Amino acid sequence: MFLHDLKYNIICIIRSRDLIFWLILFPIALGTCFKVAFGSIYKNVTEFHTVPAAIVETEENAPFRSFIQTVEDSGVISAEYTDEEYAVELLKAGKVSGIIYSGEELTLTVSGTGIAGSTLRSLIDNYKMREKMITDTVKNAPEKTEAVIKALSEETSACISTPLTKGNTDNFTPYFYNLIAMVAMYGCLIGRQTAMNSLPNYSAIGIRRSCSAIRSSAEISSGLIAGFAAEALCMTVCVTFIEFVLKVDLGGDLLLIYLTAILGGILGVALGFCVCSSFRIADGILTASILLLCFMSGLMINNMKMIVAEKAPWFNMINPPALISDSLYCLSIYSDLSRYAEKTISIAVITAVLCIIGVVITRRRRYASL
Amino acid sequence: MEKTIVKIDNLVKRYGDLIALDHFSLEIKEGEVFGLLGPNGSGKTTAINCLLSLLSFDKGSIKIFGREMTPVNYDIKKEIGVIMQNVAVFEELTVYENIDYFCGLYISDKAERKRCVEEAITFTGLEDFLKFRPKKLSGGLLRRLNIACGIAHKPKLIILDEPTVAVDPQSRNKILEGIIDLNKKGTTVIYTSHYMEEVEQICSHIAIIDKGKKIAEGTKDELKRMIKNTETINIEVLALTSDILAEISALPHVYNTEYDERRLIVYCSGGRHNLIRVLDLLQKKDIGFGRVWSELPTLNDVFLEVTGKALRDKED
Repeated sequence: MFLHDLKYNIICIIRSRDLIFWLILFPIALGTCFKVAFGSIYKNVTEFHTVPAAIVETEENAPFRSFIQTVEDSGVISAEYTDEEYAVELLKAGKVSGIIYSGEELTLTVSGTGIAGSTLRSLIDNYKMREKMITDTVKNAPEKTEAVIKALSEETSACISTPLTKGNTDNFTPYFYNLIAMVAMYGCLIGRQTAMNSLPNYSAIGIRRSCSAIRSSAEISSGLIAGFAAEALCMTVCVTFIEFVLKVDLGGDLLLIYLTAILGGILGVALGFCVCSSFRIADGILTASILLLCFMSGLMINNMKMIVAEKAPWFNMINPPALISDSLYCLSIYSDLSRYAEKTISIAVITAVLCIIGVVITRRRRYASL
Repeated sequence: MEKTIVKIDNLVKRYGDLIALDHFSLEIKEGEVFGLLGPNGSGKTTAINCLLSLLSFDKGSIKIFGREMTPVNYDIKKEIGVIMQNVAVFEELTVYENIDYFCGLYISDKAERKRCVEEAITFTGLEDFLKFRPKKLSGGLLRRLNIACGIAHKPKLIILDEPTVAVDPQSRNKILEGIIDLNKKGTTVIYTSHYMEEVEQICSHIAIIDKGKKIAEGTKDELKRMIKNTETINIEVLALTSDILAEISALPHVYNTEYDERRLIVYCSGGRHNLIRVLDLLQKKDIGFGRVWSELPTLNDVFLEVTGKALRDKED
């Protein structure tokens, strides 16, 4: 009887258009929107590109040529030595971001404002400053020239970048963590359906099932297990879509990402089951509440979680979508898994508590009114 | 001696200050089609919900198949088929899957279940709609599906709570015929309705309930014998003086007369040839009349007399 009930519960969830929309189609659409929107922002604003520049030498300047060679080797710019006429053509055609005139004086012409222009300007300024320092030293204290040149080169080598994490630290990946958390929270809809179908005071099917020969424990557990299984499937689809179709680097061990997402989904189902067993909640109100919780965890505004952390830090510790996105973040950023484990244990404990409360309420067998 | 299937003893159910069932008692024998008749809000569904252990009650006891009914008495539940007022089927499942699902809540053996499901489909005439989802079914077919889900496991006791509400006459007849068939096969049926014609048509034993109290019980003939009225004569008369009306009222077995909008109504209690006597009098007085018809008492008359109001007063 348990397996029979489980089978049909799963079929009902899989065939429910509402659930398919909110748990699979909506996240896919939203994830695609995120990718399209953030992808271009990231490429244009955050991701560094080699700056193409044309160099017109009006006079030979060996030190500057050597400086440009060094900068070119480090991948900051790609230089093309040419005459002025062709350089202007390249600039107009957008093939270079600026023209550097190298002669007695260094000058720069750029096509407009932007990161590329600023990079070139900063390079020129940097070179001019060093050139002046060395020239001044040669004039005023020639004996210190060698030391100054050494100091300047040491200054450069002192700035070695050391990554704190192997994870993906761009500003936009947390949106995808929140998207995964949102899908997990939509598990509430499955939990609600499980509660509705089990409780005689909520639905005709609840009455019908309560009158039948199936034990209440079997009825409730089959409903919950079916919900967990269906939600796990949805979470797997969501993570797979983000990681492999949208090609968003979620960071961290992929197996643990799947595990966290599925655990989060189970939390969503348990939350819906517990809340809807206790109160009669309309679909619209439940969906709005889910979105509100997701908003508080930063689904719409990335720094919302920080604001909540400042004003009501306790809320982030119990807000399910915040816990789920935090654990994914920890998984990506920290190589030490202790923070991740802490968040994951919180999710598991909250899930267990919600399930117990829901089962206790649902197992009540006689009602004062229906 | 007939076996008692259901025994409700002195049941009291309160919703706050409202008494929904007031010392309500019933005894239903094996093989009966027991009709629970009453207007909307009279306590029929509350009585059924208490019987099924869905509702708690303040006082009294309920026994089914001689055993105390409790929410965890699954052995009793296994023998009961329930068809509630609101259709309880899954929108996501097809007709066949719905019947199979509910049957599977009682019967674990797959082969036996398949046989039972197929029999229920044939019984309710749903063969042509097996792959349909409930949304695609008409109101009548949906009710038939609801019934199929309730009877597929071949219960000994079937409880039907107003199964024909909002059903077209053709489907209603099909449902009523089905209930009679089930009863012929030995199933005891409890049938609640506020449609007196239905109850009169199929029920062998009837209890009338109003404001949570059982006000009369018996076979339909026993109930009709309980009341004063045995015949109601209707005659279309163009003009009638109060003197003649008084003479009609004085005829033997006539206990009341009404004349309104050219229609004379004569209420008789007992006696034979009442109609002939009334028509003779009208002819003697040289009063022309049109259509004439005589009605035997209905359950509505019974209800009217025992409660002082018509059964259909509260109907939609």
